[in-house]
Amino acid sequence: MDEVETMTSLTAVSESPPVPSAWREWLEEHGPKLLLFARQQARSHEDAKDIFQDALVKLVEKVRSGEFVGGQAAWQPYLYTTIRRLAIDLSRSVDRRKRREDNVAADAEDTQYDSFHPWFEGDSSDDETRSQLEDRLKDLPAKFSEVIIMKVWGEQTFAEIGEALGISQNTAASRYRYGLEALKKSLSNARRRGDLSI
Amino acid sequence: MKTDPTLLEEELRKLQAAPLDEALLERLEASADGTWTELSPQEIQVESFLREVSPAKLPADFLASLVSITHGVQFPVDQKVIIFPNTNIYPEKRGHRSMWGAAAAVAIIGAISALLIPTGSHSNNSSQVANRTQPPIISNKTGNFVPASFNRGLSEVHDEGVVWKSNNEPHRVMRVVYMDHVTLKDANGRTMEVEQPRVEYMLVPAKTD
Repeated sequence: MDEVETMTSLTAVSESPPVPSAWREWLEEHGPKLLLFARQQARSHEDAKDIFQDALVKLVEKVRSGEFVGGQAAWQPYLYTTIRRLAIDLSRSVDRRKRREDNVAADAEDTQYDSFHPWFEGDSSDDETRSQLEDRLKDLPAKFSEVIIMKVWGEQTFAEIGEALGISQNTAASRYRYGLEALKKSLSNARRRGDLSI
Repeated sequence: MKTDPTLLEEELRKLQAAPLDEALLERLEASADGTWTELSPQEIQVESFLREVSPAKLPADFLASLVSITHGVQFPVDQKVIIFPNTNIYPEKRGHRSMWGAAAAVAIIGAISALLIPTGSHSNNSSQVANRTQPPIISNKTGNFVPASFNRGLSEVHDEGVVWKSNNEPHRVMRVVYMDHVTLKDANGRTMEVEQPRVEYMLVPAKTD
């Protein structure tokens, strides 16, 4: 009796090229969190995109050559570490350039550009929350905001955060706690001032 | 004027280091026993509140440029995983349909078969099994068969390999073949049995090392 199959017959084929959307799917899922971290590390949205892109190039090269150790589970920790390193390098080279040329106009342009590219998604009903959260995170000392971003949205463990930042996991946990407390207070103050409706 | 270091030392020794505050003591204790990295319920609550706000999606042109970086680089999978050539590597898990719905579908098939299979004198056996391998015999007579009973049994199970879902969790693809068996009866008491195989694909979480 003929089978009535509801799906196309599948045959196992080894070493077939993967579906083209696999990389895209991965980037759509994890890219926003990584870009958020890059924006926290970088001075501008454009620098953040450049840094993220450069970090991805490094990852892809290692994957292509078979050098990468740890599999997919290690991609995000690698990218966080690389983004941070690239951001530090870029910051140093920008500082050197700025000492040579005082370009106030370019800085103002960056600030204006960033205001049209918020860090967080939102519809009109929670624009205020989104905007306040972004501002409060920017106000926090970088060593707190970077841990918060990696932990809350990047869902990295304290061990992974410690590895990326070159600190112990206990130090990462401490910075997280201090940062979270400071963020809570800052958001509460905003609510009391009437800047935040939540 | 020369200051006697011994006297200075004595003065300094009279001073005591400030005691550790309670918060620091708790922190040190938690670090020592490995619980410092565990979040309190309040901290988890704050985290959940913050997570309600999502990072902005990648701009389309930026996403396209990132994807272009990956061109020509195979998306790595575990060596034990077999990639299917089908564009949809995640076969849909079929939901369980109503048994009566399946019976109704088979009954329709049975009714159509009944239209094509002759009734009457050439057989005293009131029970006939529809055999799809035989060509249908056109008959001028019709029969009104209704489902009398339904049974589904598991016929075969095949392991089709492992796929990785976008959340990086491996799933084993199982091809399950059921055999639906419907008994149809008409007003004259004649019965007809129809067998209909059904194939379903299921994703089962696979263990990894």
